[in-house]
Amino acid sequence: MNLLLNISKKEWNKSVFTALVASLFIIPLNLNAQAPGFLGKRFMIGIEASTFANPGLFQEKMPYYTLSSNGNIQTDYDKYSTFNFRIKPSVNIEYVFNRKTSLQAFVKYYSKSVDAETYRDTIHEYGEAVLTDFYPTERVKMNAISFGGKFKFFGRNHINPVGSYWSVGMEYVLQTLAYSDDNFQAYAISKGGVFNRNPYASKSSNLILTTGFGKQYAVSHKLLMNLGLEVGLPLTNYWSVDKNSQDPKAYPDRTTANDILGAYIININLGLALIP
Amino acid sequence: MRYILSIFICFALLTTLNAQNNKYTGLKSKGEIPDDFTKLTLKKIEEAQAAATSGRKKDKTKSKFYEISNFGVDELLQSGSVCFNDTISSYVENVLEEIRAKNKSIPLDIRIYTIKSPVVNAFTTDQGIIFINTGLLAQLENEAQLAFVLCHEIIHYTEGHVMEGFIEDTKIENAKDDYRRIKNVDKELASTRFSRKMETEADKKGLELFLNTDYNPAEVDGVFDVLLYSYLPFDEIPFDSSILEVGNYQIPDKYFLEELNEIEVEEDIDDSRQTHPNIAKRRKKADNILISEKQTGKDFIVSEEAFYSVRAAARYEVLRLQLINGNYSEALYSAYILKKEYPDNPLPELAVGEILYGTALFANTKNKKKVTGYYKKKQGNVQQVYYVLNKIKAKDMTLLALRYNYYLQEKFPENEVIKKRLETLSRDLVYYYEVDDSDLNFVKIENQKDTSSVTKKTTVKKVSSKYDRIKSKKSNGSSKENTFNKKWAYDLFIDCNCESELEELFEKGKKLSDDKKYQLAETDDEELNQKSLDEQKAYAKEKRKHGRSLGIDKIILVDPYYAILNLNKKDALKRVKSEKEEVEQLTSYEDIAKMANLDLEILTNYRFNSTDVQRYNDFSLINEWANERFMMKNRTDFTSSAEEVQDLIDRYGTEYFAWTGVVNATYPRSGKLYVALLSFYSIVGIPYGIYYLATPKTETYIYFSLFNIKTGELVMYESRSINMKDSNGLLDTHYYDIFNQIKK
Repeated sequence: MNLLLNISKKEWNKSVFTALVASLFIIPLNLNAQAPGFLGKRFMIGIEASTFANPGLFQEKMPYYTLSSNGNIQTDYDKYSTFNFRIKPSVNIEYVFNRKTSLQAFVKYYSKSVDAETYRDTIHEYGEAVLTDFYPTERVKMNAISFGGKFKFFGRNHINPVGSYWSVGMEYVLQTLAYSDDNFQAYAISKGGVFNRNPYASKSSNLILTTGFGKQYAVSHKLLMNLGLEVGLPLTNYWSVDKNSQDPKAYPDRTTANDILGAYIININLGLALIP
Repeated sequence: MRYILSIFICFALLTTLNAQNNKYTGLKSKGEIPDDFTKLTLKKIEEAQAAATSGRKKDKTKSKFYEISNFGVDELLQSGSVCFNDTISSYVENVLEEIRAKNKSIPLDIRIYTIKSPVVNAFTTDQGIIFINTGLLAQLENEAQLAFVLCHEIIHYTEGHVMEGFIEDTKIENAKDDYRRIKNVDKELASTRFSRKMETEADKKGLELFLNTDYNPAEVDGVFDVLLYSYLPFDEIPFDSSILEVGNYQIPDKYFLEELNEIEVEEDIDDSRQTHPNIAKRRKKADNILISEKQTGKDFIVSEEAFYSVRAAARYEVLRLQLINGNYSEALYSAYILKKEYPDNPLPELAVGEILYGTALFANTKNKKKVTGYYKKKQGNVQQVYYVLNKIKAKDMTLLALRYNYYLQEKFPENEVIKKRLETLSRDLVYYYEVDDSDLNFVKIENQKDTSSVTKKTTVKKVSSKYDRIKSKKSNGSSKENTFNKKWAYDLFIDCNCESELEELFEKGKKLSDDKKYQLAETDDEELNQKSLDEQKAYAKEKRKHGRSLGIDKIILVDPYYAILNLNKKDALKRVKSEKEEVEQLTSYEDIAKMANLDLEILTNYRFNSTDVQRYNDFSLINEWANERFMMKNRTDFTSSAEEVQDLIDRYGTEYFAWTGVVNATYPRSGKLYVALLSFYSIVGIPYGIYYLATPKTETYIYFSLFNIKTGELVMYESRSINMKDSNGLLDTHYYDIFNQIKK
């Protein structure tokens, strides 16, 4: 968890404590609520699963190098399938302002494996098998956690929180890309080379502007179901990365940026909300 | 026993009609509420099917018939416009007993109910209910005629004509059995032909029943006269302006037609597209039977007095209904006839005050035709009434209404409704025409040409009945003054000695007119329109965000409605499911209101038990109030039944009554092919494509109107169309939102 959030254990505990204190306020408020919203409740606690396709469509088709069975280096291209559906679970709390508007705060998490090339500063030319130092592609795990909030606005004939809505919000994503460099190590050892690089972890953060629409259904007096579609647009990291740079050090940034775009551009949300 | 009952009926009617407390409260149901009114339709259908099949296989057509028939009849029974054990129904039941005494085969399960309707009609259902409209009673001339009508209806029941007609219509519609080769264009003809066959049978066999009684057979012919002239009012006497003249003034003869359209009706019309044979055929067939039968009998057996009392009650009821429905020309003529017949009864005068008031308000909002109708095609003396109300201009009509109601106020000083009318009329005069008391003439100016002196005065020759008068085709001559004082209405108050009172009244009128909240324009968004423009903007914004905060503790929900429609099918209304949901939803309304801390009481047939006759009459009254209110819109802030309404408010402890309903409709989806192609082509859209193709389009419509029945104000109006299914969660959310806005 520390790695994920990149915070110390002390900071983590502090955050958990703050959340608990906040929830203590929420419960009594909720019990006496006589307000707009579903049967007079102001607060809802929900879980949501955002399904997103991580499509090759949004990923650069980068060449990478692998070792063939006979020990030669061969060029291959990205392994992203066109649609690689993934789940991004989240926990949220929603506050009903009035019969048309509510604010939702959430925490989301997802992890996935990506093909990340560690370095690529040596160009391999076809026909002239000039073999120089290179760092082959690693299949590495990427974790992301995001915090954010969004406003939900309910349609003309719909009463918060049941019915059609559209939403707009912001998300702050912290991403961690951890390299194991196993391939490199294997190759270096096979060539009698020296393994001289430590495992490398790339961290990046992004601010995402999200907007979407959906519909909420009351399953019972205590449970709501949500079905929606959300579109996200990275505002920071993605646009600052030089997509054409040949600098191998730029590659991790590029990888995470592409991944962010893939994970946020289109999400189909399915959620349940408990109304205490 | 019958004699005692008749005396009782007469007494009850006389106390109602001739009471000097100037109140006529309409027909009231009495005694225990019959099962017909409270039993679930679904249960009635099950019982009817069980009795019909008794172990045999269900007949699909008959099952459908039971469903349609029971739901149709129950819709009427639950409308509040049907009376049971009332004075009219009780009297008609006595006549039925008289017929049964001579015809022992008549089933005992026949029930008589009266429908409060001005339409001349009576009909029977397959359950054994005979409905008699007050409009028919108002037109009949004697008990023997009523007896023949009953005999005719009894035959419809005993011969099972209602079901027979339905089965035949189904065969015709589906081109089965004898109708296999029928063309679509001939289906209507075939259906009406069969209906005429049954009517002829009812006439024939009904006449047989009738001839077994001691009633006068000659009166059968009279019934056909009643039917032939049923489109005319319940009497035919010349109309003059006297009923509008209550002071030292006369209505100019410019407002009277010199020649009226003749009463022309063809007896032997082409009836090939009609459900009943034409009158000539029916009369002829009856005559053929009557020739060989006895020709003597009595016009009255139960009681002549009771008949006339019942007919008077029916006529007053017709007048009351015409007022509620805003049918003012017909109402004025009814009031005129009743005034002639009962000169000491104050009710016709009170009705005239209401008619002039209502006509003025509609004329001021440029919608007079809606309540006066068109005069050109009218026949007989009633045309004169249509013409008068049409021709008097809005301002003059308002002044006339003011004068007439001023007269009523002097006569009935305790009547609060008349006082309110005067205030509203003075308000309209200031608001629309900038006319106040200073414009009126209170003293006759000498040398002023008296141009309004001649009015159309006709002599009413005493003849026996409406039908004699029609047949005599007498014409009335009249003279007409050529000159016309355009400002005649300003002279209406001459010699009334009311200058100071009117000054005071117009002060109030000016204040009301100045009130910025007051908006006279007719609009659909009445709730907003009751506010000034600045208030409207702020109110709309607040309403959207937070809803209203009405601070009302208790409301009465009147007969909540629920309908489930499947528009993919020809017979779209799912009746059984709708009724189930309607009943289940009643509990939800109460639960949700409780959550919103709102005290809610539901007034509906489903909640009545047999002893709730007071609640049933309240239900009937509030429905009539609603009819009148929807007709008047926001032109006035009270209705004619204001005093009765006050009793209702006291009884229920609130002045807030609400009407609500839910309609869930399933539509066929359009463009299925395009969606299928697009979704499958795009791959990502496949789930949506499957969803689109597999599920129908559903929409839920919720309406809710909350009225303050004391002031007539529309306190809250909601109309929501939601593209979702009518799940409990959805309805609970919306009703919580509505109830919460009312309570908080």
